[in-house]
Amino acid sequence: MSSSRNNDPFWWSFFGAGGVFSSFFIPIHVLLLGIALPLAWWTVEPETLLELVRHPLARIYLFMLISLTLFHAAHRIRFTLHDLLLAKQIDTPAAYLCYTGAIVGTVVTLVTVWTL
Amino acid sequence: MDTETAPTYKRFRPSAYHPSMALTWWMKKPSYLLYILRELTAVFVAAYAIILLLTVRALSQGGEAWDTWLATLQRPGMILFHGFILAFAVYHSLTWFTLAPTALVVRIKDKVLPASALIAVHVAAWVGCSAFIAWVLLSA
Repeated sequence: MSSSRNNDPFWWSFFGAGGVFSSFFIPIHVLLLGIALPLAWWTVEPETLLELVRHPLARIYLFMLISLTLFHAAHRIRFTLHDLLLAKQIDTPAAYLCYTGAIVGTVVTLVTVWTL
Repeated sequence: MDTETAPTYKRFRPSAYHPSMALTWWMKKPSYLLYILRELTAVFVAAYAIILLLTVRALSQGGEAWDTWLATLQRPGMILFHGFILAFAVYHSLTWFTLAPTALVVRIKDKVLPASALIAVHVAAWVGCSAFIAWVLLSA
């Protein structure tokens, strides 16, 4: 019987799911909420936006988008640190740091969308 | 064997072989640089996930909190930062779609969908998703 103690496939599945979600949805949010809205290319009442994000589907969407994007980035940053710094010993602390960050971000996001 | 005359002889001693690689390896070829730029998209995409979370929080707090957050987003440095985020996010999307055929094989009646068709489907889905989100936000 062989057993694998490698967690990579587990984290990779989140990396993959987050990669799909963020590649499809992040650019339009950056354009509309990060550039168009501050520059007043379009205006919206905050109450209207709040009503929109309070919709159950919007809450689920925001939670999945933010959380999976964080896991995607955590995985990628972990391996990029390894590639850039060329130090094998950095991988374990980097993995803990990156995945812990994504888990904390997920909890904060869950609380935020739950209590909107 | 006379090791004194050849002390650095390593051919049959793999343990003594330490290939050296400069920390600047990613500057040596354009393809290496593009790879690192692709990986660095994660930093900008993660930064935006946090900004989106802060936007939702400011919305839920309402009133003054929202005005303060909007004023922060309106600072020239923040607009510029969002320009960088947008560029990296688009680069992330395009590189992700071109990677899709290596991770995904779609068969239709024993025929494998060509890579170019799979990429085209992803780009079309991207345009569709973006249009849907824009429609939801702009018609609110």
